[in-house]
Amino acid sequence: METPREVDPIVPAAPREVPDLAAVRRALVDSFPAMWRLLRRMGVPASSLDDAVQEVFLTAVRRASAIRPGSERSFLYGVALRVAARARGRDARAPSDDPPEVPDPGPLPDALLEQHRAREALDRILDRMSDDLRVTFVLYELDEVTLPEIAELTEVPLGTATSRLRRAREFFRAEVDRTQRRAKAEGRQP
Amino acid sequence: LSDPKRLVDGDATAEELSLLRAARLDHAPPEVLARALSAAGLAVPSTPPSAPRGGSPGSRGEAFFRGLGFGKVVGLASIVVVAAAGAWLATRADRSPPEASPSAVGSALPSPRSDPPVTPAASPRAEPSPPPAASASTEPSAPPVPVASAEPTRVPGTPGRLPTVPAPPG
Repeated sequence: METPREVDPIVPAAPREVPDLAAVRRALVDSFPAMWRLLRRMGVPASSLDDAVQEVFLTAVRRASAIRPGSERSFLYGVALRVAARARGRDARAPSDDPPEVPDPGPLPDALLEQHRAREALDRILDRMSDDLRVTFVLYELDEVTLPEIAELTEVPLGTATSRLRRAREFFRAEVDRTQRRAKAEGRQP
Repeated sequence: LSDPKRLVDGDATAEELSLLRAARLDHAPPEVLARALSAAGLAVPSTPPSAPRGGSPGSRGEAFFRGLGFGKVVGLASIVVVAAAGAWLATRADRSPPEASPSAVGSALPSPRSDPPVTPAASPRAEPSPPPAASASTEPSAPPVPVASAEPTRVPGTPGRLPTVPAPPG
């Protein structure tokens, strides 16, 4: 004889929300440039960037019903930060024989070459920052996320986020200054 | 409690600015976005730009006929017409036997009277009747057929048939 299916009488079954995939798609497309920059500046290797972006997208689709309307950007940034942390961890555990962070750009106009060198210098500085300072600095200075949003994303009080930003700026300025002085001492362009 | 100015908007040095601006100008390759959307099942199928020519961007039916072309549409129409004509002729042919038999009888008879068909002795209908001797051995039920039973009585002088008729008693 078939036993009746047990139903918890106390906890009612939550109504399954239908995710608005069109809204998720819009949010992903709108946030993609910033998300890509965030993943890059958070240290995801160039060879893993494609996979990291796809992981963010897949996670967003899978958890679409959990995204609150109006908080799509925060949700995506949170996912991107976790994906970046995992990618960095994988990269640290299994260093590959990949080429350096950015492949040889070949012949570039002077302006583009200068931008390329500047990004390499910035990435070297960010690599030396702690993760907490790096997240705060990248989100605030490059992606223009507000401090309250950063505090929510990183799950710290606003004062802590403000303090991290201040320390990250000090670190950044000190590193830029040190790089400049070393370049001058070596007689080359920083 | 407003956010402090960003470095690029504040008192950053030239070197700091160049690093920050270069990072902000780092553009993502569009193919990465396309691949990610496709992997997540969010890719939108691309449509050729010349598809909606001729009228409003239409329904699937309109697109279907646009794809067919004029020649194929005419060919399809002719096939439909031929098929319809064939179906009409088939229905006519099905109805013709019951209509044709009365007219054929009416044309064969001299008058519209419905007399019972009296066939003469040399009628071809009498010919195929089986000989009673053979039919008696193989088909005992042959006598109930009205034609076979009536013929010997109607045509008593037919040679070869009298011996099979049993003589009346007395």
